[in-house]
Amino acid sequence: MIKILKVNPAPLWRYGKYRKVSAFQQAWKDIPKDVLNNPNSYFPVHLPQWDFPKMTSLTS
Amino acid sequence: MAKTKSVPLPDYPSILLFPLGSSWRGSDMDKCLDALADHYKLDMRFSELPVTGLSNGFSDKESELWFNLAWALMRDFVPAFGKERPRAGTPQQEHTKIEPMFPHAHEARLVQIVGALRRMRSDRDCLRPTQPPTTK
Repeated sequence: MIKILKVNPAPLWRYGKYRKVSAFQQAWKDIPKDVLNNPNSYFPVHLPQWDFPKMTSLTS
Repeated sequence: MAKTKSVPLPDYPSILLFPLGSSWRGSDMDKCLDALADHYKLDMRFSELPVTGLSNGFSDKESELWFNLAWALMRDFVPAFGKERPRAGTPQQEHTKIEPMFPHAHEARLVQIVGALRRMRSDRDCLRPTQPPTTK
């Protein structure tokens, strides 16, 4: 994740400036269980589906 | 017993800052109401309202004027209706603001990304040969 963020900065994302594994671990602990189980329901429905690997050019 | 809590006085014109006293006249009241209407930028002033008898009740314009004045006063003096004051500390930036409609969107995105990375890693592990090729 940290490597991806170095290549693809995400300044508008809350976790975009995290640079340490421990910071992500702490953030992960703070995420409510419902969000962990069903993250898709926590976005505006009108937003287009987001293709993570394609966005970050991880797949060719 | 009600708790005492100080509320900052709005920047009223001077006519509103002193009691009218016991000998006030109708015109004094009108001036004060007009000053309030001006201060709160209401659509019209009380002195501009057409004169109607009390038995006829309030006209729509008059009701609207009283409603708007009541709302403006509530905004200034009742904390529940007041404007939110900026809190101390660093002002929130775009990425640290919590969107009221979607308060967990940032967290949900993190969960999505971690899930996608885990899937990609497991796919890669499945494709990897389990035994090294034998050479003859």
